[in-house]
Amino acid sequence: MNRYKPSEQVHIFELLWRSACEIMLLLDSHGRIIEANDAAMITYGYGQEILNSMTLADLSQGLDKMAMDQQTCCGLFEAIHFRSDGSSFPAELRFCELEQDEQKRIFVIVRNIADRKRLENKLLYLSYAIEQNPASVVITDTDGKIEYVNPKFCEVTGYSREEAIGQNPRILKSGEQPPEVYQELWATITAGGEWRGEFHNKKKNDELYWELASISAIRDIEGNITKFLAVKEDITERKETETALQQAEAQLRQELLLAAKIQRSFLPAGQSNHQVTIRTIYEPYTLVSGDIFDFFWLEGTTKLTGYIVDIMGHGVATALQASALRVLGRQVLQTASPLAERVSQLNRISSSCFTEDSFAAMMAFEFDFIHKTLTYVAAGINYFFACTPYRAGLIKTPGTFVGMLPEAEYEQHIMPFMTGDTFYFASDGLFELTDEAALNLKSYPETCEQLARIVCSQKRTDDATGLLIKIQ
Amino acid sequence: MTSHYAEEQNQVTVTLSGSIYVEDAAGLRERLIDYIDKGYNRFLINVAGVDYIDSSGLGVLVAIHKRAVQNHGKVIIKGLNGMVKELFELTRLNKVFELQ
Repeated sequence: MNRYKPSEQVHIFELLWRSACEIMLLLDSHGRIIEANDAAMITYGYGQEILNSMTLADLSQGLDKMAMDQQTCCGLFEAIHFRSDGSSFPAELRFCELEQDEQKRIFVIVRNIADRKRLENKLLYLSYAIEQNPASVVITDTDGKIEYVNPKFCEVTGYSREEAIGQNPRILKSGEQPPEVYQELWATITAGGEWRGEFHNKKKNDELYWELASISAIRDIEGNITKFLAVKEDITERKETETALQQAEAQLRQELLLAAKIQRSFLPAGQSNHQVTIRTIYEPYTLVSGDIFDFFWLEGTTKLTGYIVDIMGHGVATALQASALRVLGRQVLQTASPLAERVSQLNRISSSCFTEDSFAAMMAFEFDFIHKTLTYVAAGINYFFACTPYRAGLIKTPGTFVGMLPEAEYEQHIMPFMTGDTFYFASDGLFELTDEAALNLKSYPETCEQLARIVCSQKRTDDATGLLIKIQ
Repeated sequence: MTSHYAEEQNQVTVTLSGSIYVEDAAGLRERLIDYIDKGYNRFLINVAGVDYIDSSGLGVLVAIHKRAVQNHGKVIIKGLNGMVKELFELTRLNKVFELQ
């Protein structure tokens, strides 16, 4: 039983009709608008009179009369609707067939679905972005069951979408990685974090491949984890390149180690006899060195000849130059001519070993145990330490680099020596770190120890070489 | 090391100061070779503010000198003093370069 009187019912109906937010239209069987509510007039921008002269088709695009005629009660249609100012909006139309005074009427509710359309389009773009993504995308439920894979996943793994869905991603597990990796992954993503790492996985055809994966949780609007999302990039090619590079580096290192060993084998060992004690320091900055030294007893004499050479720079190229100089140096310095002439000759014949801005620093010396004299020639290494009754401390002497000027002339200097005297020849890498005042030159063992300590300094940035000589 | 470069006609004036080590020498070399490649063949290098230069720094100066001479130019070293002057004298580079 209706609780309202007929007059009240009409009033309530009018109130609802006028105040409803949705557009409401009443049409006759030809689609002509008989009634339109306030929302319709406001939205379309037409007054009631004008609307009454229009059909629904006049407001719409994409909705033909046939469709209207064939609609059933409560049918849903979508169309574009136009306002009086020419602007439009996407509309969802709900039809309801009525009968009024034995006449067929159609009640239409028109809803502006612009926001929903925007959302649908956004979802479409995102879906397209995932489908076309160059990375594999996998979505699982919280138990790890695969719910979605994109085409790239199928291309990489060889599994079709149908084969993958419902499976656990462990179908890709190769067994090459420790279980701790997977434990850490699950602990991270179930706690809501993002896990990033590499997988060594297995394709459907058992072929192994590498993936760089980012896996994280997807939450619903209440913040509950509902899915897990994995985005994975195939990095097999990169890993193979890295491995090849590592192997090449390891091989190069092996070869450098061998070269360093050979280079070291060129160097004479320290010696001690009734005439002299020689200790050596040889510390390359890298594996191989641009420093070399040599000393030998001149055949048929009691002369000890030697030198230190420091090629500018350090590394493989300088090591090769150093080796070339080692061969040339022995040939030239073993002759009997004055030491300065021998150094001049070495300078001339070694020029082909040097590039435009490379050269060598050198100090050559010769101890004559008959005349008790030391002859020395500076060629870029222009100082050495000595402790003798005649001269003590840093001895400086001029002379230009080897390999810089082919016609350079060198001068030799002579100083006497006697039992107990000490001489310390060194390359730049050792001199630069040595504080003369801190050395106790009067004590040969102490000075040797101090210099050996200096070589181990973290500040060293060059090859360091020394010949530490004591006359017995 | 700090450096300042100024070009005037076909001469480049380089003002250096501080200490010149191997890593500074590499940058200096690159800059000066660039000038040579652009056709400059006269270099005035002011080292008055330089308190130390290692062998790689000397190597750069010699290399630029060689290239400048090949291109009928020269390198002039200006303001030699202190340890750097002594190094030039000891290594006889004072005979290689024109000094000012």
